Amino acid sequence: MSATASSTPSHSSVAPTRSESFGVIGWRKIRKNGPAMAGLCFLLLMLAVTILGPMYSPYRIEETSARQFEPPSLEHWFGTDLHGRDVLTRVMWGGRLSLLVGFAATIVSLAIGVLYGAVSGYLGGKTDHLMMRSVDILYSLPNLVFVIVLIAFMEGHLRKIFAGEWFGVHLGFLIPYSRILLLLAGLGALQWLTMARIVRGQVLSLKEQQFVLASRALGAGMSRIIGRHLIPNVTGPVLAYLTLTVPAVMLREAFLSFLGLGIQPPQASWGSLVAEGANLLNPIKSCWWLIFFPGAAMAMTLLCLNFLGDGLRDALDPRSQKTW
Amino acid sequence: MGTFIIRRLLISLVLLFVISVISFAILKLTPGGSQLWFQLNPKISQAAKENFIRKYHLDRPLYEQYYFIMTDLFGGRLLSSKDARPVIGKIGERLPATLRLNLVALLLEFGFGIPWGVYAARNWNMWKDRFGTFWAFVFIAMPNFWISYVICIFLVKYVNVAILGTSSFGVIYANPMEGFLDHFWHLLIPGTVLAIGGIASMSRYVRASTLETLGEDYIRTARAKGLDPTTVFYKHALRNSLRPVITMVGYLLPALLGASVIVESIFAYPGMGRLGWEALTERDYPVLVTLNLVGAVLVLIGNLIADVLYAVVDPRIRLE
Repeated sequence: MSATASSTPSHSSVAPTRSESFGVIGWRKIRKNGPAMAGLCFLLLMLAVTILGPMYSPYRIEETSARQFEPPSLEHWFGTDLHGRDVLTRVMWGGRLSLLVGFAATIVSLAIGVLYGAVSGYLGGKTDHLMMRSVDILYSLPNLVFVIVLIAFMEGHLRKIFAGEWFGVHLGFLIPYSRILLLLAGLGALQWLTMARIVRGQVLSLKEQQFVLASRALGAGMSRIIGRHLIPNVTGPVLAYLTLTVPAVMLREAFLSFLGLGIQPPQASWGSLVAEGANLLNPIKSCWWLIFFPGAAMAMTLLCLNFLGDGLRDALDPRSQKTW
Repeated sequence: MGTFIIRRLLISLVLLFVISVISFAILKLTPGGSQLWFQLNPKISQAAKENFIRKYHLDRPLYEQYYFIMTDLFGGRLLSSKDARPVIGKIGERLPATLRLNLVALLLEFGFGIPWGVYAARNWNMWKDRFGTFWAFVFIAMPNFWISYVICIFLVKYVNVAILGTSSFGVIYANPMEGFLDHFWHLLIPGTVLAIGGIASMSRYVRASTLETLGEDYIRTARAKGLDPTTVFYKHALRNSLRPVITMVGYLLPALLGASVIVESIFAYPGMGRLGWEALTERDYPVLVTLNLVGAVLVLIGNLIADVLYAVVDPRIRLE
């Protein structure tokens, strides 16, 4: 920042306003955005409940009782399931995995997608063509099948690796999580495609603009132009898409778990809880609380994420300054 | 334009080949593979086993299996490994139902999504916009399968209407109108569930792109020369802001088909999505390979349509 200011002394009067970082300005703006702050607060509450809730619940997650299929009451706020387990405790427990998968896979997709898209868009020409056609191929593949196969294939191998059979490194504590780790990798690897396309599209038009030309004229290299000039300028669209990515990943995880291919009992996520409820649905007795509450918890979380992301975009996108 | 389309079609053929190889490989590599069929039936005779293996060329090397599957597929001779009926026929009888369902969903997405987005942008930052934003986020946040079940339980339990399948079971219609309405009702409920997320995200896209257009210099120019805001909004801004929306057509169709797997299964709707789900659980991979290819063709056609439309509506983009 200071180097830029000193090299352009005629603009030194502008320098003090430029010295405030992107994030500080963004935070100041987002603090004034009611829905976004409400979303953030509720999201933090949700995190606290899923992390701390099970510890303070009077019921343990695996605690069964003779009181099956009880509708919601003061004792069991969300009712009980087939084995007489408290549904509220299970929903809180399931939230941990759903949130973990959602955020971690999004970070994976963000890293891959932004870099891939920026490089492809900036280089242009044949490289861009090749990189984007590969994205097209991956796009056209039945992507959930890809995750399913990845999990089925690699789970055994990953367990062996964690047990120290391959590289001699013992990571035994990770063995129960090998399926979740694969789920993370697979979902993240799927979700970056759209991100790459969005970033590439933006970079294609941005790189023709004069500030990039100016930067190149001053001798900036590719990594500097991409890192300092192009990527900060795509923050808005990227954040706007991230608002859709975390929910999308969580929905896919839920979908896979719903099909019985993601998180499986005795572990629970919101998707697998809905699936358990749906399997018990029959014409004589439908326990709506088994389906309604896990799904509602998920929908509330995604709602908060959407509000937060929308606020973030308004705060951080330089082009969303409205003149209308 | 012509050369662009021809070149893209040629590239699409190459892509299609790569996709077919990959999807074939994925299905072959799935643990269990076709062998599961035997595990499920312990009483099967050795002769029947060998007959099955010969019939589906499972004793040949993989590249020959691929060759046989593809020549059979394009010759229309590929048989389902579940009931030995031609795959083309199985998909053909499901295709109209899926097209109907997706058409309803697509119409709902455009019919409600675009006006909603435009309305929100017109009333930017007013309570109407905030109200619309809230409901858009609620719609986006609700998982498809969850809405399906909640609507199922609600309608069947408390409203007491039939919703599964394509028509009410065992009902003799008094007149054709009643029959039509019954079919339409059975189409509307899964169609709505399928479209809910799409309507909401469509409205968000339209709103965002309209607001972005409103920030452009030429809009300020139009306002500065004294045009009234309504004319500027509808004649200058809207035409440009609907550009990215048109490209969404290309991406919506494959997404809808993917989503219809779960919705069709829950609503017992006899479409391609449900066929795919049945084929996946039954390891019927002649059907699966074909469905994957059909899906891939749709994605590629969708992308091509999106690119061409983009150039048609935006003269600044030149296709070479």
